[in-house]
Amino acid sequence: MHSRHFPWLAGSLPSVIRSWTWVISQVALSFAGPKVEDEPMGASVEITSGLRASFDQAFAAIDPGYQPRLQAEWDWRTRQVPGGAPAETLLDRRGRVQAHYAALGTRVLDGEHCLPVAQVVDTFASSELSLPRRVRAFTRACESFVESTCLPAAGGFVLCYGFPVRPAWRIGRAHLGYTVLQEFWRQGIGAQDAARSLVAGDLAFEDDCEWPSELDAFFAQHAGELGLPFMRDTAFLRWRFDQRPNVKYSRCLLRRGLGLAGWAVLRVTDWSGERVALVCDRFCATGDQEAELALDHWLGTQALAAGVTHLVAAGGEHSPEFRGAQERGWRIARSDYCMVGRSFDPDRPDSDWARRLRWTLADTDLV
Amino acid sequence: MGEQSNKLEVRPLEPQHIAQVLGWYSMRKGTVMEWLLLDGAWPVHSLVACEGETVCALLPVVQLGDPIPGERPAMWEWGQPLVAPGSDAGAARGWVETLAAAFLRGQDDPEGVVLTWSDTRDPVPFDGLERLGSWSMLQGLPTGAEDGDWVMQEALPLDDAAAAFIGACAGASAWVPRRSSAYLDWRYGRAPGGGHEATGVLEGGELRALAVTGPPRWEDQPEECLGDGPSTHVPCRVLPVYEFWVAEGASRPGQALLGNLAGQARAQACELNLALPSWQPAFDLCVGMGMRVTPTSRDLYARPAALAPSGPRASQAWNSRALDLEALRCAWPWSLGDAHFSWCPFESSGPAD
Repeated sequence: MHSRHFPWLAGSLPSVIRSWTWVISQVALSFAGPKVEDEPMGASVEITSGLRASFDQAFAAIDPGYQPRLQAEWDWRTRQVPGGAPAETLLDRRGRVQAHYAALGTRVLDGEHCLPVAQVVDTFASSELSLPRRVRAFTRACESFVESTCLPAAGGFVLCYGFPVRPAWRIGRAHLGYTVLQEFWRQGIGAQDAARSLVAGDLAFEDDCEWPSELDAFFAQHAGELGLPFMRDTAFLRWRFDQRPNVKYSRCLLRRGLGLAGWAVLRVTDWSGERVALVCDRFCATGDQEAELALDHWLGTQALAAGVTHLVAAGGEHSPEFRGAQERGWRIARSDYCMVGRSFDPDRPDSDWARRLRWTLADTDLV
Repeated sequence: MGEQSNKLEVRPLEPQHIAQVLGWYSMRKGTVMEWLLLDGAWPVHSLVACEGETVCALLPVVQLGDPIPGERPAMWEWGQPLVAPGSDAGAARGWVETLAAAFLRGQDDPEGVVLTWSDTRDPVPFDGLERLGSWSMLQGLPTGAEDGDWVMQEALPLDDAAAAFIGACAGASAWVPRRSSAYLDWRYGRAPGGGHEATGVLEGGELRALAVTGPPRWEDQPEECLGDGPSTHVPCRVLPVYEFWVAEGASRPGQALLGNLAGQARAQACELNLALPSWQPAFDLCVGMGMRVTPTSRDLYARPAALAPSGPRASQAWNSRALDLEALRCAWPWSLGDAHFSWCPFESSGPAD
């Protein structure tokens, strides 16, 4: 797996940035400012053949195993995103792609308010450019993206964030105003240890069923205990896990009697060179220890059934579940990634996001 | 130094200034402040802003370890600036900015590093700092150490051999302040209140792991709830581990040392508390023995120890020379001992107060 952020930057910062005349063009950017609350944000970017070719060339240059995306995957990542997929593409005078800055629109819940935020993904600058020109092009694409989609633009994103590999985001810090928000802690546990977790008698699992309509209210009821959690509702979960082409996720709903008590989503795949079961998402009420143990049990059991010995999850140090997971036996290790971001809300400095954001792998494009 | 800004004069800190500052808030920790800022073995880096003989503000500065000129960049820690009570907020901010600029101008070392720890809930008191990330601790009572053919030595002297061992563990990293025996003696031997103890593991007569603990203390642990309610903290009694160094390939002696420290903590009804960057092998060793990664409310900030030049040509030079934060994150094996102000605080008042 590779981060799709700033993949073009190799080596040190440029010593010279030359002036250049750029033609900036928004590629079918029908994004009209994210709507908060519960409505989908709508329109997405059109991926042209030229953009795809540039994208493939840029990522193939840094990843020998890179495989071009199928059209269905592009559609899922752009047209079908519930929160929209705004992008900015920089073209030169001959119409060639110089840089592309793109995001997946999503939301963070702050009390009763949904805040539009952007996960920056699939960004690149043409590998045919010299390093100084790449920096310049990428910075221009980012600036234009910010101007049209982020605060103070009406309804604009309040935060842009991403999960780059550490060495690759120097330009984000040096030129784009990004800062480290949280560590990307890898959390691991043996599948057998997880499977041994006790399941209380009044809890039961429903495997691979539809996301229920009561989920939205269940999340809203308990989200206030999570700081600033990324929004979960059936629209997001269907898009994230049901509609993605060619990727199989397993999931369970946890029920206590007839009521919803939580859920978990699992994907068996290769991660950092080993076969693991990745916990893509999980949720239950904060402090519901029985539900946490039951979800551990389900995850461990599923991993073992798939022939995998280790479960891996990820999260930041300020996640409210961070301590509890360690007390249940999950062990923390470093990863190659970090969560970086840039706040556009003057009332919310980076440090506030850093201290309160709660995310899972579902809020990354890594799984 | 003698920099003038209107009637304001910036001077190196002197003992009579400490007396004035202590009087501001009826501070009782004068011994700590004098030890940290004025100990005679080290150059004084702290600055005061004075109007006449009256101290208006203090920028507390401690150098991390001993710099090796020409080999390793120097690192300094800035403490929370102190300003005279009742000062106008705007004037106070100006004093702090003047002090910070005077310090940076005095160092003029773009490869040097200025660090400060700041509570995430407070405004950062200085301009030009970049957030390096949250400051997390390792905490718990590790278990699982095995017996081996080594000797556990408590009350280990922090002498030249200990300093050389730490230097060898730190390796060739560009961001390691050297801990000389003189530094170790100041930092732990002469710290007010005492109570610092070094423990070592010797294998075949050679030091393989070393730790320095301090006196037990109460540490606030953030509660899990981060919602809209008031943030709550749970006090926890901890045995702080200021230094924890393990030789390359010495994971089992390292485990034995951690097990010994756990025994010391248990005997004092404490948990162990230490800070390590996650890229260090000792981090995995600690987690593997059951220590928890525990976030604190503090963030770490850094900046080059020089004023950024103005003008495009100067900016290019600055960018090519100035501090690379990612390199710092990945090559500075920080420990609790590096955080002088955060863990031996004296009462303070920032310009925003």
